[in-house]
Amino acid sequence: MIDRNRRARNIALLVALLGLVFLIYAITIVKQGGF
Amino acid sequence: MSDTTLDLARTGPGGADPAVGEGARVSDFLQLLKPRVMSLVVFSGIAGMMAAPGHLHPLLAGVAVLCIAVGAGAAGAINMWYDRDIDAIMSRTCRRPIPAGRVEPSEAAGFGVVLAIGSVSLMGLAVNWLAAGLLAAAILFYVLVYTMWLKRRTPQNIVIGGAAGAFPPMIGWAAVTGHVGLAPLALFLLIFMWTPPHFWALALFRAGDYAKAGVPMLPVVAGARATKVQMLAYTLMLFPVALSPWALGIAGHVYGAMAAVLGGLFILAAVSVLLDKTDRSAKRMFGFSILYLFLLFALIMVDRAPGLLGAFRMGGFA
Repeated sequence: MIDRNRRARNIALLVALLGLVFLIYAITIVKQGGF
Repeated sequence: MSDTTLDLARTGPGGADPAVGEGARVSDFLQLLKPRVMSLVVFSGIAGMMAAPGHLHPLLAGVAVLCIAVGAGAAGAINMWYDRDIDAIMSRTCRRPIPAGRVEPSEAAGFGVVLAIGSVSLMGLAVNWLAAGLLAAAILFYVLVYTMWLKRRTPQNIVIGGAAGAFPPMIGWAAVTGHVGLAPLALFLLIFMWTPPHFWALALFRAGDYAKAGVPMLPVVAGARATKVQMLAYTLMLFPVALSPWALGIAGHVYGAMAAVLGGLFILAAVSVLLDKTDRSAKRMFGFSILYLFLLFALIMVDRAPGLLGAFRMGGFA
């Protein structure tokens, strides 16, 4: 059970970090558009 | 409060057991963010953004909302870390992740600090630094002024500390316009004046819990009657404050009319609490207070929605 929870936490962290990377990428594009 | 209780709260039921926190679920970390508080914070932040004149790119508006949500959650996580000793004593909070032993206190503190720094930085870099500064001020106010300084020292804790919860519409406004003025201050004051009657309604029927934990909430220190009188005084002062967004022109006549009706009902609820010897009216008033604020901000959004849709059609957001 502990391993399963740890795996779920790691996946959630990975998803959050990937989401942040994509968000920063999108923000950069918008900002370059003059906003 | 026994030492054993304190030790239990400080280390979790597992004490020095290294396995404590290992079994923490993702949902435990989400619970640290106080999602119910976060929802009202986000809602009032969006209302502030919608009430503000000007345009913000939809993606940047989404980032601003995300930062407000994460910043509020971060403050909640740090609050749960600091208050873990009293949370373990109170029946309302003893099942939170830290006192229940599911999350290590240091993990919760680290989680909160990282999210606080991340949300403020992202707000500054993506939106503007005034909104980021206000977000930082709200987090610091909640953590340092309310949680660490006032909460355990004075019955005026939630009156002054309530300012932290009043920041979101101002942050939303600043995110769109890049400045603050009288109008966002009116939205700030609306939440600021609403907080005491809202929170004291809860404290009235949870007074035993707060007394057990040694938290000097007004009903514990001054008694139920003095609290009820003050609640009525705040609902009376809230009435004109709630009308001010209409008077300042940031909300329409529908809002003005509804603010008057809802304000009247809120005052009636406070009178009913004052006359009631049981907890029933206080519980009802607590529920109504949430509906009251939710409806007022929803009306501000509805008033502004046609203009925003027009801006979308005209390409104002493109």
